[in-house]
Amino acid sequence: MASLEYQESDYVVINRRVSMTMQPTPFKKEPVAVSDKIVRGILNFGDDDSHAVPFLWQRNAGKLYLDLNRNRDLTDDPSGVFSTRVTYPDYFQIFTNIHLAFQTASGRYQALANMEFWDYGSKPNCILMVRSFWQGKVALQGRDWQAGIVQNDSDHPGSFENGRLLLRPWETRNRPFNADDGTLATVPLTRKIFVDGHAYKLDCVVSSQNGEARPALQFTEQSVPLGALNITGQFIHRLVLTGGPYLVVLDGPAGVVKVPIGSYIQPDVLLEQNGVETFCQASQQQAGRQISVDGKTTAVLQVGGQLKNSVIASRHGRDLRLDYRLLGVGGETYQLAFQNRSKPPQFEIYKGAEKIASGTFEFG
Amino acid sequence: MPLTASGNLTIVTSSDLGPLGPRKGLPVSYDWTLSSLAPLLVPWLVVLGLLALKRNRCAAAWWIWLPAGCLAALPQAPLEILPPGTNFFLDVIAALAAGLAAVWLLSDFLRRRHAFISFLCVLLALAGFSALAFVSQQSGSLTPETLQAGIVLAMGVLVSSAALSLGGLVCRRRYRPAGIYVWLFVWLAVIWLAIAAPFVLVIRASGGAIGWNEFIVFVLAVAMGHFAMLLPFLILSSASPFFRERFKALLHAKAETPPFIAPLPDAFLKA
Repeated sequence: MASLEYQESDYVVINRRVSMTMQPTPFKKEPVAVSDKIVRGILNFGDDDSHAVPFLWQRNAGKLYLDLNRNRDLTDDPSGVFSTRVTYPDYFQIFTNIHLAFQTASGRYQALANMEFWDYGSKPNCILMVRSFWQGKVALQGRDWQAGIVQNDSDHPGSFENGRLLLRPWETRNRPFNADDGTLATVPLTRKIFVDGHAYKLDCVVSSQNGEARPALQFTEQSVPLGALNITGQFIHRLVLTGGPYLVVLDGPAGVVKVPIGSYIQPDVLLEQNGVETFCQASQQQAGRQISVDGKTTAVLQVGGQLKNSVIASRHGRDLRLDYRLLGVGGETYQLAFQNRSKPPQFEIYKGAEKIASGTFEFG
Repeated sequence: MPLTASGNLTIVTSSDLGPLGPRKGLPVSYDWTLSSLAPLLVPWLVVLGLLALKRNRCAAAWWIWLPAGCLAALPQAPLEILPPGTNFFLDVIAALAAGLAAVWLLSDFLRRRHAFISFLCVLLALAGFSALAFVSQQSGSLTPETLQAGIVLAMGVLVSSAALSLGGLVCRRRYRPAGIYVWLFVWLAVIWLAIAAPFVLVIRASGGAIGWNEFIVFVLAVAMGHFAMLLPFLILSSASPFFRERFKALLHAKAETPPFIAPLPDAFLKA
């Protein structure tokens, strides 16, 4: 059993949009307005009304008022007042170091986040950029891992079941990560996981200590039939197979590996070589491609390097549209983890031996 | 793509992948067939046909190519005139140019006794010829950009027709080019304001925070852009006596009357 500790970070671990209900009339008590550029409403953290936080955003002043005690009086929350530097146009502002607290059935639950507000005219929006998570050390087959949970605070605050599982070698624990960036430090929180060649039943137990919710992760080894999977590509740092009986996490697989028998969907892949990282997300790949692993034959999975630059050309009226693609050995599409936008990919068009056009791709 | 490029093209991409792969990508072949130029010529063949009408058979009528050609050439310009993603506006401008050229050449036929009927005739002619030009430019399938451009064109046609009619209404008693220019701009701004205001009100009512100042600046910018597009045709109508008379007739404007000079009394003449 790995008891998890609450940890705050100086980087964002997950970004989620927060649903917002606009408030046309003033709240019971409000700070003095400095201009008419006021957005007032309620941030809905999930369906539970007790989690909702009324807010007032004064764009001209670069101020955010959060009703942290939820009494609709926005003047009595000294720790709910946040400021940011006002730049013009003032459509977009970020407020940092916001401590949120939610009362759940398991106790009080806290989170640290930044909040990004923007309003380009149609409707105000808010993104919660969470900067806290729960983590601890767990030993699996003699190897230490950092295990933890990154919660989805925008939708289910305090519900550890809906979060992401942080699972990586203990020695990499100080490396910043983000659950959305494709680098696979986190995987969907599952009850059945296969990692480092072993299958586990994973339980998340939440207890209450001094009124505070305190999660813990329990890994119980399971015995499952395994099949052979031949991974043909190079440079694979982590590969995650979902859709099968177990969520399979393979670190540095090369050649033939053993995984639980079953049918999986296209994997998420992180490639790394000499510090250069690139990733492939299954959600962006062709749907319907399945990998079946049985106990008799060796299944083949063509993913990984070497990578090659490619392009998809299509006609749009009188225009020839070029879409850049970074392809793996199986034709899967990758993205560089750190794209240098000052050096975009280039193209050249030839008619026979004559170059008739050239240029660079635009991002987006 | 250049209009002359056709055949089997080879596209090669390159990007620094570090140790993960080679810089140069594999060549990708694409068979590019030349778009037929015939559809592009259709609206201009129609303008040519209008020049063959009996009332247009004079050298002065051929000056219509000057404003129409300037605006229609914009989509073919090699310069980045507009930000990426908004290039469809150039197709809209070119289509409106063809429509305006047709209206200018047909103005003798479009003028009716009642100004409102004249407005409807101008609207129909401008809509019809602009739509023809626009459709002939779209050689591909219907895309969201095409739909977007079509909506902008429809609004442009409506606003142009209404502003011309209202501008003429204001200046009908005393036609002066400067007056019609000013009033046309004023009406363009008012009509765009009337079209956009309900959207802004709905957005503000649903919690959006569009400032009125930003909105007014935006509307004025749109009106200025629209006016700049009409300007070559207005200049033609000021500079060419042939088009000036037609324009005045279309706007139901009366000529500026010369100052009244009373006859001198006989006694004065005798002295």
